[in-house]
Amino acid sequence: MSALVWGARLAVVLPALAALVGGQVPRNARGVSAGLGVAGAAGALLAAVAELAATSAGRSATGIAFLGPVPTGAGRVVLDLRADQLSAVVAVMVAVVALCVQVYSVSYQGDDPRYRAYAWTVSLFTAAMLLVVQSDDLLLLLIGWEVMGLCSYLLVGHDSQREAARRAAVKAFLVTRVGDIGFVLGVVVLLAAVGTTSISTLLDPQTLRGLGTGTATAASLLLIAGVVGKSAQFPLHTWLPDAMEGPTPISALIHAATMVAAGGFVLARLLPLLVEAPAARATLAALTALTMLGSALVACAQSDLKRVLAWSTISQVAYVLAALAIAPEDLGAAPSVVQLLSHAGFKALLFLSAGALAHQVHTTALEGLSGAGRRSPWVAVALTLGLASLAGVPPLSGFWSKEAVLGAAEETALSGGPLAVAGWVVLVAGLLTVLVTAVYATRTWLLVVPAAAATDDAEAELVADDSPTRGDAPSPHEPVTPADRHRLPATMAVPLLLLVVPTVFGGLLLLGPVVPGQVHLSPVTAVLAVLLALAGATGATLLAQRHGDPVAVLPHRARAALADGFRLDVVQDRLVVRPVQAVARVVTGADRDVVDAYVRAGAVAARGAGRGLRRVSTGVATGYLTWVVVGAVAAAVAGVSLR
Amino acid sequence: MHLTGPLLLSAVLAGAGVYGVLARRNAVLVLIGVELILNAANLLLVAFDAAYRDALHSGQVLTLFVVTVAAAEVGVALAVVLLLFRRRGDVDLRGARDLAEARDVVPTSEPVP
Repeated sequence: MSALVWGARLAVVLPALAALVGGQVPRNARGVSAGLGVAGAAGALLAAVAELAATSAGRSATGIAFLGPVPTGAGRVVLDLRADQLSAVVAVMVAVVALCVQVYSVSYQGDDPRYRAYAWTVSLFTAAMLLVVQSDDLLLLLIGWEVMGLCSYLLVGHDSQREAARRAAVKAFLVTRVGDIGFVLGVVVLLAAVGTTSISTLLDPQTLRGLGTGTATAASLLLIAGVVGKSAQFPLHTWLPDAMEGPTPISALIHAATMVAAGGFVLARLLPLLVEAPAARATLAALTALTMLGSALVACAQSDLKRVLAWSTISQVAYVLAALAIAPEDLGAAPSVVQLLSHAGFKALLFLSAGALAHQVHTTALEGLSGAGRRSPWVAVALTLGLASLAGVPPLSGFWSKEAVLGAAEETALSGGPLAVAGWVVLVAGLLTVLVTAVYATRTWLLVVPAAAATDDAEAELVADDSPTRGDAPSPHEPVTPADRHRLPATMAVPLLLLVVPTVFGGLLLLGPVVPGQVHLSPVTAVLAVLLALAGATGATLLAQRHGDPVAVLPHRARAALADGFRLDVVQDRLVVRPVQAVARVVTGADRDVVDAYVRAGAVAARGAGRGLRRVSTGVATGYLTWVVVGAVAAAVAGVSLR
Repeated sequence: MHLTGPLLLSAVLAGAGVYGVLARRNAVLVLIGVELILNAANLLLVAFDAAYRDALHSGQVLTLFVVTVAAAEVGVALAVVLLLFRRRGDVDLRGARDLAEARDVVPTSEPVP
C-alpha cells in the first residue's frame, strides 16, 4: 500500500522539487542544474516503477491525500491522487522519456546560455504531466494541464532571440488555449451534474448511469475539444509543426511524453464517461480518421526532418484517440494505451536520433541531412529502427500497437453496434494511413540514410572499413563514428540506446500484465497492414530510384499544398486570426478614441487654462493685488446680492 | 449707539488701504495699506459686536484673531521687504519682477497625447 501511495505522490513531487530548486541555483552552475534535472526525472522514474510494481500485483488506490479539500461552496473538490495500472504504466513511460531528454540535453544544450531555465522548465513539464497522470480530481488534472501549456510555451520559445521561435510559442499557447476553454467548460458541466470533480466518483457506474446521455455527450464533446487542442488533432493541430522551432529534445518530450500524450491519456482515463456518449465518440472517430490520413499525407511532402516527425506525431496520436473512439467495451482503453506507449518510445527515439544527426550538420532540413546517416552509423541504426517502428514493420513495437488499434476497429466495425460505421471509418482510414506512413517513413529514410549506410551488418562493416583512420571497434555504449567525424557524447548515446529497447521489444507489452484491459489482434488486419506497408515502402523506393525524391512524382501545386499542410494555416488565418485582430483593432480604437478622449480632454483644458494664465503673470505685485481686490469686491457683491 | 460713524470711518480706512495697495510703489507703504484694510475690518467687527450686544462677544474675539494674524503677516512681509532691499537697494515693487513669466521662452515640447 505504501509503495503505491508514496510512489504516486513522489512521482509528482520529486520533479516539481527539482524544478523549484533548479530555478534558484546560480545561473552559471551548469552542472548543478543538469544534476537536479536528471535527479528529478530519475526520482520520478523510481517512484513510478515502484507504483507499477505495486499495481502489477493487482493493487490500486484512489483518493490518495495530496493537496487536501478545496472549500468551494458548491460541489465537493478534493485534490487527491490515484494510483492504478493506467496511471502507473503511463507514469513510467513519462519518466523514462523525461529522463532520456534530461540526460540527452546535458550535451545537446551544452552551449546554451540559458541552460538553467531550460533544465528546470523540463522538470516542471514532467511534474505537470505526472500530475495529470496521477490525478484523481478533474481540477487537479486541470492544474497540471494548464502548467503543461505554460511549459510548452516557455520551451518552444526557448531560443527567444529568434522571431520564429517566439511566434511558434505564442501560436502553440493560443491554439491549445482555444481547446482548453472547452476543457474547462467540460469540467464545469461535470461538476454541476455530479456535484464533485473527483474522477473516481465520476467514473462510478452508478454516477455514470445517473448522468444522462445529454449531459454525458455535452461534457464529452467539451473535453474532446480540449484534447483535440492538446493532442494536436484537426482542426487545432496547426501549432505542432510550428512548435518544431523549439530545441529537438523538447520536441521529443512534447511529442512522446507530455502535451500530446496528455490528451490521449485523459480520454483513456475518462473512457467510461465517453462510452455513455456515442455521439461524442462518433465525432471523435471522424476527426481522428481525418487527422491521421491527412497529416500522414502532409508528412510525405515535408522538406524538414523535424516537420516530418511532427506531422507523423499528429497522425500517430490520431490512432491513440481513434482507438478510444471505437474500442469495444471489453477491450477498454488497452489498444489506445498500447499505441500511446509504443508511440512514446519510437517517437522519442526518432527525435533524439534526428537531433543527434542535426547536432553534427547544424540543420534539420532533409537536404542538408542527406547522407548524415553514413557519418554516424549508430545513430542511423537508431533512426532506422524508429522509422521502421513508425511504419509498422512486424517485430517492432509500432506494428503491434497499430494492430491493437486496427484489431479493435475491425471488431467494432463487424459487431454491427451503434458505432459500426465509426469503426469502418477508422479501420479504412487506419489502413490507408499505414500505407502512407510507410511511404513517408521510407522516403525520410532514403533521404537521410543513404543506401550504403549501416542498415545491415555487412554494409555497416563496409562503411567502417572504408574509413582509413578508424580507431578501435565500436562499443555499444560509445558509438564510434568513422574517422575524424563527430564523436557522439555518451550523454547523447545512452538515451538513444535506452529508447531502442522499448522500440524493439515493445510488443512484449501486449503479452505482459502491464497494460490495463486487453488487446485483440486480428490476423486479417495484420496481414493487410503488413502488405500495405510493404506496398508503400516498395512504391516509395521505386519512385525514389526514378525521381530521386518520391514526392517529385506529384504535380508541383499538389506538393506545395501538401507541404503547407493543405494550407489550413491560411484558412485559419482568414477565418479566425484576422477577424479577431479586426475586433481587437476596433476595441483598441474605441478605448483610445472614446474612453481615453475624456481623460485627454482634461489635460487639454488644463493646458489651455495654463497658457491663458501665463499672460496674467506679469511679476508686478501690484497687478496681482488688483486681482485680489477685484475678487474681494466680487465676493462682497455676490454675498450682498444673494443674501 | 449709532453705526454711521464707525461705518463711515471703516469705509474711509478701507478705501485709503485699497488706494495704498494698488497705487503705491513702495513696498512698505503697500504693507501699510494692507494694515489699513485689516483694521477697517476690525473696526466693523467691534462696532457690530457692540451694536448687537453679543453675549459671547464673537466680534471682539475675531478682532483679536485678526490682530494676531496681522502681526504674524507683518513679520513675514517685513522680512521679505528687508531681503528685497538687501538684494536690490530699493523697495520699488515695479522693479521687482523676478517672478514674471518669461515672454520669450517657448514651451519645448507638446505633451504626448
